[in-house]
Order: sequence, then structure tokens, then C-alpha cells
Amino acid sequence: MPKSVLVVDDTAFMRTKLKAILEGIGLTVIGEASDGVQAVEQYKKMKPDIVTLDITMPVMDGMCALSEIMQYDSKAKVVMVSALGYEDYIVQAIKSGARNFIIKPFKDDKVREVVSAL
Amino acid sequence: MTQYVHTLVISTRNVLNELGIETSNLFFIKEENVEQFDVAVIIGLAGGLRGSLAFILDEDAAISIASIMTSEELRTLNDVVKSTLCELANMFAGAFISNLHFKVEITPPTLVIGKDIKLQQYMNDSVYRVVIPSKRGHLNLSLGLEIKGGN
Repeated sequence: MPKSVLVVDDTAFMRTKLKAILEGIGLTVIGEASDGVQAVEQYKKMKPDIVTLDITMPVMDGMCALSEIMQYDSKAKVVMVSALGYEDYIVQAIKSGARNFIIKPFKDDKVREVVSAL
Repeated sequence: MTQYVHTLVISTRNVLNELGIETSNLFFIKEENVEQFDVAVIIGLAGGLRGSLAFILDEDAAISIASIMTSEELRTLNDVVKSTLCELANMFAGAFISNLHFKVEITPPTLVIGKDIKLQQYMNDSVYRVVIPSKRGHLNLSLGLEIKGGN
């Protein structure tokens, strides 16, 4: 059975792009969310195998959403996908439980490589 | 202020190169606070730097840039174009603050669309516009910062 993915980003452009890449390697995108609150709600409801999570989003940012998801499920496989490549954010995300951090803009291969390694 | 403008130019060039958007190597820098535009995406800056970064361009350039990023032939300023421009502005802001040596936070993008709307960033007159000529039209990044004690 293919792994399921929840894609979280506030722009439809990025959600569409990530969905195309992930489905291209045989994963199933079972949900999309455009803010952190939706992300946490959908994670609890859908229990995806993998989450791709943006940081800068309205309502609740990705760092807060990451903490809530990890609190709910310490084994969650979350990959941050953000334009914020500042070292502090990367360290903080990894310490909070993210499995990896992809900086935007990215090459499609980078997403394939990171997600396939989970 | 000039060091921030330099960082903005370098980081913007890197983002555009990564996305395969061809630009001239010549970036123009203007000290200018008022800009007329068709489309602007505004991102607030807080923390180590306070102010805003506005990505400004005309409608044709907006549609053309979004077409490259989506690999689709887009013809109107539709939701796909709007979403794509917001993401591009987010990438510009993210790359800019990632190249600074202190922590800056950014807001989600705000999109403004109209004809000949004027944008003015009030921040102690510390507003610089970086003009990026491209085959798809001029892209403008306007950086308005609140600089304590002037420039």
C-alpha cells in the first residue's frame, strides 16, 4: 500500500507542485491544509504516514503546528518545506522532531530524495 | 541600509537562478518610496529588522513569471497566478532573511491588485527599490525598513 501524505502550505501553487512530485513517486496525497490549525486537525483525522509542512502561514505557523503534531504523535514523520533557510529555524525544527528540512526554492529531486528516505 | 540592499540583490538573484527565470545581470537600485503598480505582494518583517518587502510588477510580467514557475501557459491574472506570485515573494523574503546574521520573522504574503495603485512604505524614508530587468518584464523589490537612528 502506498504511503499517505498530508501537504501543508498556504499557497495553492506550492501544494499543487508538491502533490505532483509526491504522486510521481507513487505516494498518495490524502489531504491538503493551508494553515497550521488545519494541519493539526487533518493529521489527527487522517493519520498520514508523512507530512510536508510550511512554516510561514496564517492562523498558526508551521513551527507551532509541528510541536502540536509531535505532541499528539511522537513518531510522526514531518518534513519542513520552507523558504526560511535560517539556521535557527532548521535547528529548532529538527529539535522539535522534524525529520528533515527542505529550503524553497528546491529541485524536485530534493523532495523525492528526502521523502523516499523516510 | 545598503548592506541589506546588497543582501537582497544577492539572495533574489539566487532564487531566480534556482527557478530558471532569466534576468539581466544588471540590477538597478533606486532610493524611491512611491511606486505605481498593477500587482504587489507585501510581506512584513519583524524581529531583528522591522519594515516590509514588496514585490511589485505589472500584469503582463506577473502572468509571464507565473507561467514559467507552473510550466503552464497562463493568460489571465487568475488564482494560479496570484498564488504563484505569493509563493515567489515568500521565497524572496525567506532567502533575504536567511542571508542575514540575525533572526527576522516574516508575515504571510498580502496580495494587492489594481490599476496604477500607489504603494508607499513609511519607514523613516529608508526605502530602496531593486529593479530586476528580465525578458518577462521588470520585477521590482521594494525594501522599506525602520532604521533606528537613521541610515
